[in-house]
Amino acid sequence: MWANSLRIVGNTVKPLVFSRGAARITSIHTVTSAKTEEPKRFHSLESANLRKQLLTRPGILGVKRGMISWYTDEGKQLAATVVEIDSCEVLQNKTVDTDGYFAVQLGQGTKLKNVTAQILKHCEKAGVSPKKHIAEFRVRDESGLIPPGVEITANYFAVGQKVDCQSISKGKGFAGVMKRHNFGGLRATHGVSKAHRSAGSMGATQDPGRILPGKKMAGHMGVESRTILNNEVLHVDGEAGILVIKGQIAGPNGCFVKIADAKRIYGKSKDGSR
Amino acid sequence: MIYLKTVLNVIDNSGAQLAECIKVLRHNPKNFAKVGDEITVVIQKARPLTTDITGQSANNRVKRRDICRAIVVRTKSPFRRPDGSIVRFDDNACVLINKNGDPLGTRVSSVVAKELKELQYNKIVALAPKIF
Amino acid sequence: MLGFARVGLSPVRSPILQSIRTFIPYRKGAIPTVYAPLPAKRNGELPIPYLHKKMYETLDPSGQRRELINKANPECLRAGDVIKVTYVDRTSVLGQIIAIRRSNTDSNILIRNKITRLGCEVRIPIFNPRIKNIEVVQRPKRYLARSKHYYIRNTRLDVGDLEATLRKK
Repeated sequence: MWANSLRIVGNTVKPLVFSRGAARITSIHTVTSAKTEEPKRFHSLESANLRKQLLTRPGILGVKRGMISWYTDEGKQLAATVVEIDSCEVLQNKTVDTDGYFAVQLGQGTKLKNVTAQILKHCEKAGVSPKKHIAEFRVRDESGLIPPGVEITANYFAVGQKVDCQSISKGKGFAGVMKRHNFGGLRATHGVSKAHRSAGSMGATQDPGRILPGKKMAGHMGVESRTILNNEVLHVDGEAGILVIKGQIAGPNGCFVKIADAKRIYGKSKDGSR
Repeated sequence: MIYLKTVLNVIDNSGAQLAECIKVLRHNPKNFAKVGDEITVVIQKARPLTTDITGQSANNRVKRRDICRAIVVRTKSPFRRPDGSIVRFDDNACVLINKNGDPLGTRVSSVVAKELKELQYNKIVALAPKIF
Repeated sequence: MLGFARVGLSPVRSPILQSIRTFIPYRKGAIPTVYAPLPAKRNGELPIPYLHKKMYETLDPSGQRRELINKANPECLRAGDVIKVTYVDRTSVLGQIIAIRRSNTDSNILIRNKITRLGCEVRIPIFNPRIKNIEVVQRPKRYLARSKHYYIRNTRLDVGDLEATLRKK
């Protein structure tokens, strides 16, 4: 009876039939032949992915090997870090349909002893040798995905571009409060008894009568993930697997580094004068 | 690294011989003065007013306990140049200037650092016998 | 420019390794095939020595600078020699060597001179591309003890005005 009422399912339009014929969803003036786009839902994975600040292409994995002094053509001497890019291959791609986001999973190095079954099967699927470190880079959409098994060399980056380097910082052990939080400590003399490097007071008295959460105290320091932003690439050697990056990278020599294009470029960057 | 209480040699002919730094200007209170930085000094030792100094008129002479501005021109603490070389002098020295930035003396007696040229202290550089 | 090792973005299957020692022994199920690792880069050489070699090719192709501080060279520089460093923009620095620090491409020489009766020292990195030439001007008849001459500062052994002594010659 109310066959003019219509129901939109996906991209198609179907007639909506009511048993009592009471409701009318669509107007009688609806142009049934016109097809409109379903609006992008705010609460959906696709929209969430588009809202995020993500790079279009993944980064690469490397190992920090040491520091050298680098000379530019003008004669400036810069402190630079040498990163080794050794057999960095793509293991897996993650997509919105399967995992809810787009990412490229890379593996770096070679590990042939005491490899677990899961890693062996994972690397067999990609057709590569078992990897020492595995990490993934989230990308914006499927244009950034790379087929599994492809090796990425240091040529991935251009000389003069800025990169972000993420690695785990050096461990400092159980660090006192002066090293960990830059506290001032107490005096060296004038009667101070056995408390020269302590934190001093821990808070107020009866009110609140406890130590507030987040009070800075001594404790473990270091071995935390740190990202150094906007380091300039000074030298790239794809065949030799060497990347020379200006400045410092967190972590000791031999630590695993994730290097990606700089996400937040600010200041003078185009001519590399910074 | 020049800071409060540092005693510097005065190498111009304004009459002063030793100046003590009492303030590092335009810096964080915990930072030091390097070559080319302006400091406030108090004159600790000066040549007696009766003696003549060539090239210097009697009005511009500086006495002991005068407070004036100065530019650091040499430091004993090593400083780095962009090409990687590290320069060090055997003493700390300064040149007295007035509020406008012009040197109080008319001659500079010994070598000054090359950094002053880049920092646009051209009058001091022109007066200096040698730049290192 | 994407840096992919193989053209066409398709991987080349490496040869399969025969066996690999695993943490968990395989009791049931198929043993996964293990592909051989990629061929070693730089012929197995460590990255930083390889990089130093490459830097020497641009910074010191003839090997002259390296010979200046090479201890095996009988004509090498020593603390006590008077040298003149000339830069590409034709400025020069004259001084007596007090110390030589040997560290591959970061090697530097500390030279001291007395300019207007004031001691001035500069530590010059010798592989800087702005340096045109380093030449020995004078070698002493007898070398002082030690390879680093920090102890001569402000003593009777200190350097004099080297430019004046040069002019006298």
